[in-house]
Amino acid sequence: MQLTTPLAIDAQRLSKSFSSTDGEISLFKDLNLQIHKGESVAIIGPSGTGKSTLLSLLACLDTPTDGTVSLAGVDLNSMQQQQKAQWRSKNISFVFQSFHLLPELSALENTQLPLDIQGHADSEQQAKHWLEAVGLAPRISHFPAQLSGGEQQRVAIARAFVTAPSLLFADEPTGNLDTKTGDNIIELLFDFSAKTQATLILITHDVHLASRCDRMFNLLEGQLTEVIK
Amino acid sequence: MSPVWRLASRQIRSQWRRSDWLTLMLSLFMMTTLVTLLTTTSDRLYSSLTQQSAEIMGADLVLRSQQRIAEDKYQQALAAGLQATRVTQFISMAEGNENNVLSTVRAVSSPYPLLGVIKTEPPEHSGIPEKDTVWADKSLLSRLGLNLGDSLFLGYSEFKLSRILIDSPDRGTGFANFNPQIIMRSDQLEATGILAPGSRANFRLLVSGEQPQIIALQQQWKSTLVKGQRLINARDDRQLNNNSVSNASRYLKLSALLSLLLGAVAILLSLQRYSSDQRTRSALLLSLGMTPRQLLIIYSMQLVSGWLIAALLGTGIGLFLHQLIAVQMSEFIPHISDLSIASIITSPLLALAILFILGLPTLLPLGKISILQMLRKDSSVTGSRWHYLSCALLLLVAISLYMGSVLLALVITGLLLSLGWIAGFLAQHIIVALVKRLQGRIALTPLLKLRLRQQRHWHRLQAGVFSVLLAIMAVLFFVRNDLIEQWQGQIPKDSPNHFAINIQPWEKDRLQSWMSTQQLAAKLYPIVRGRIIAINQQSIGSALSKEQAQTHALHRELNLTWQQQLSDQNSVIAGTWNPDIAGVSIESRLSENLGLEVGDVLGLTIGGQLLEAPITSIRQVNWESFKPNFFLIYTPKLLEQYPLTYITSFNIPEQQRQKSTLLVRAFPTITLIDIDKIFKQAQSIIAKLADSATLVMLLTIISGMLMLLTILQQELAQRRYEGALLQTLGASERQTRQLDILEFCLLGITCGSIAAVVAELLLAIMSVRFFDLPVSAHPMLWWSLPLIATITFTGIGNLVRGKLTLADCYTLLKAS
Repeated sequence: MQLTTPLAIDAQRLSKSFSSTDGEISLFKDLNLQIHKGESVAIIGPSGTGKSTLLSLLACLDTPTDGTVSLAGVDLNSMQQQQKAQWRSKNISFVFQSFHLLPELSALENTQLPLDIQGHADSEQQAKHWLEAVGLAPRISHFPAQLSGGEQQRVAIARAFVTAPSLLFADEPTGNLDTKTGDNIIELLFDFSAKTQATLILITHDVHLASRCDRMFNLLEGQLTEVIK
Repeated sequence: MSPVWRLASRQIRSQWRRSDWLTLMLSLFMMTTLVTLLTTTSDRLYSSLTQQSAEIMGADLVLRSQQRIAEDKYQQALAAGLQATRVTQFISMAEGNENNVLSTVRAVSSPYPLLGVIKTEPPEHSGIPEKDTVWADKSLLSRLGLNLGDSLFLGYSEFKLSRILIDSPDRGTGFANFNPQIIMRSDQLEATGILAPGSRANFRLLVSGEQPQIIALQQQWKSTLVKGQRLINARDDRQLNNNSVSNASRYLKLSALLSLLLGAVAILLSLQRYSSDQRTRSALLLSLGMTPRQLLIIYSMQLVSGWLIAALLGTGIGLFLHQLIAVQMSEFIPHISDLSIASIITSPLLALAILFILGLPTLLPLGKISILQMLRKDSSVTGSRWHYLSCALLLLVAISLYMGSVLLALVITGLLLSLGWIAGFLAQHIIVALVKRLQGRIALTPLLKLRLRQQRHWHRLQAGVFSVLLAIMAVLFFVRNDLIEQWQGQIPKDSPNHFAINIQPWEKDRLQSWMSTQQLAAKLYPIVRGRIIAINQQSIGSALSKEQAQTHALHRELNLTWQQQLSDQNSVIAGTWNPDIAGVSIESRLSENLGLEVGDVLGLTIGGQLLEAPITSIRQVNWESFKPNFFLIYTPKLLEQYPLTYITSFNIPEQQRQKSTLLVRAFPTITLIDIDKIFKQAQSIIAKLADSATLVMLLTIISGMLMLLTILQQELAQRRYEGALLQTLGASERQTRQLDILEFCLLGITCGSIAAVVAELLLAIMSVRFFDLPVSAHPMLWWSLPLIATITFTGIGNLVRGKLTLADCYTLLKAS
């Protein structure tokens, strides 16, 4: 990835701490991270080090105790809640470990839901296109309960890409899947990210998976260090 | 269709498969069904009662007087846009076929009556008797041996008997209305020469029309009433009080209040569980770009749709059940008034209000939920202060609506909340103490102790809510039983079904011997008529306050008697009854109204002579005993020199009915009153009321069970998770089930015992405050409530818990 491309995420001197009965607990302090547009970045680290918290700060879901985060040059934390939500829905997508599909909607309806919410007229065509791309064309009318775990995650990926996001956050996307299915899912994620020029931020504890990203960072004891492949 | 609406409609359909939503809807349905049934039935009972009362009086407002009523009163009523008519009623001898019978004559003019209808044979629909004719009761015809078309003499006038009176409103009060009745035209009254100045008669001005004008006229006349005048509004609460039907109506309202509370608690808990389960879903929708407003619209639509189905269905079923009861009631309340729109829509609107007031504070936070919820499993839901405050306020509003008093509502809400809080706190401590006692006796005690620590918040809530609700349900059950017992107690078996009055002293011995040959047991009471005119040597005008002076008993002649020993239906509550010390015993309510105490001296005028006697005792009288009862009972000798008649009551068994005809033939001057009809009607009312009360009770119990189910479902997930964990650590399915059962048993016994204490207290308060019943202990409560609570807790708990196989455990733990 060329370092001349604009920054998708620019986190400066990021700190997060919590107050507890034993005093202030600092999760991390003065973290700096720059991710370029179209880049894929993995954040690895053992459980409890704050990977998910870092993801929530980078996606502007949570506010840092200190420091700033800009997404594509925009400081979301200075925005009103409503504006922030709107910006996020147009530019960011998430893929979660536990799929989170709405049980009463079919695969197609689940996929077209974000476009429907945004009021797109061609939501159905778009959704069909992405379901076809993830290999679920014959199963578009099936409900989540009728799909396997891998298939559900594929619907979730189609749903994530249907809005053509510039940023995709994936939190342990293969955590609930077996290795083979997980590999297929990762394949799809990388493939689509590359095709759509989306920036992919992957949270995982699987080094093998992380190594497929352009860059890899290790979050350990509050420090973020880049792992040179 | 917009995506929000589309998603909402999908969500609405799919959520019906969720147990938390189903419980919420079931609670809503039960609440609306019960509240609709109870509100409509109670309203219909009440309005039928007032209507019936008006029809018995023949008018909405009656001015009664012992003197002629001034013309201006009549004109005032007409000027107020009301209908008015005058009635003169007096007792006179009717003569025919060379026989005489003492009769009560009503002289009326058109229009008459203003409410209700006079039923005659042959039927007559156009008002009052034609000129030179009268209508008379069948008993008069049979006593005089007359037929329709024969002549009947009243005073100097001769009339033709044109109709037989079957039933008529405005019969008058007291024993006068038990004489055979005659209706004549008032324009022919003077010619009879019966009423001379000073003759005893009752003059009435009947008024009818719209309530606001009636009330205004009542207010206007109230201050102008003179001695011997009384104003009665048919819709006045006093007319309706202390009546089985009004008690039933009040019982229904109280049951409705309980249903409302049960429903509100169940709805609140189901909503909490529901909203807690909706957190992830809301976070997902927000992450997909939905705005909090759109989210709120979806959930509001879901609530409204749920309300439309559950509440409207509930209202429909409630109305259907009400119709079933109404059909039963139609036998004893013939005038089934139409249901008011207000009584039909109260329940569904109340349900909607409850759903939104309780629902919005639970669902609003979902719009603010962080998408972080998707990353971290943070399922703790904390209710806001506003939430709890709104719940308390809602309780207050609901109770205010039903009680019609804010102060009373405040007291009841405060009482219920503090009772719940204390009960919960107490239960938790009792359970811990009980478990300590089980230490070493039951192998599961260590696990049970852990369970208690982990469930302590739930136990406090469950025990608080359940103890109070169980107590209230027990109260409803026992009040129902007490009411039925009271109603049935009013008509003891073999109680007198006939009264005989106007028995002259010279007929007394002959009558007694005739009755003993007929094997009729009867006690004769002497009657002397007198009027209270002085208290402690002062005229009643100066001795009493203006309000006290209004007491009805002061404005008419009272029936006085003397007795050696007070009869059974009297119980002395102050002073003593000693027949050797000259004095008078006064009925307690009259003494209360006049502010009289033992030692005060009552002055009465009897036949123009003054009789003064000190009050030596105050008595409570069972007025419903169907025996002769008296406001004043004198010691013997004081009354003996006055002119007197006798009264008696006795029971003629069904198969010996002919004895009443024999009696009337043998003693033509005696007035015989057959109260068997009144009896049968009363018995039928009681049976029907008891049936209705049982139905209400059953429905309330179902509601209570549903509420318990909701409470137990609240921590079901936690319970199953813990069970699964224990089983994977080596405990057997049987052991985890035993642990649950042990916990439920402890909860049941404790809640039941606390509920028994609370119920006994509430019963005592309510007996005195609402139903005018004597306070009594209910030993059945002490064993039945703990037993019922234990069975219910264990049964429903087991049902909710379900079976937990080892395979289930792994799935459960993996998903957590």
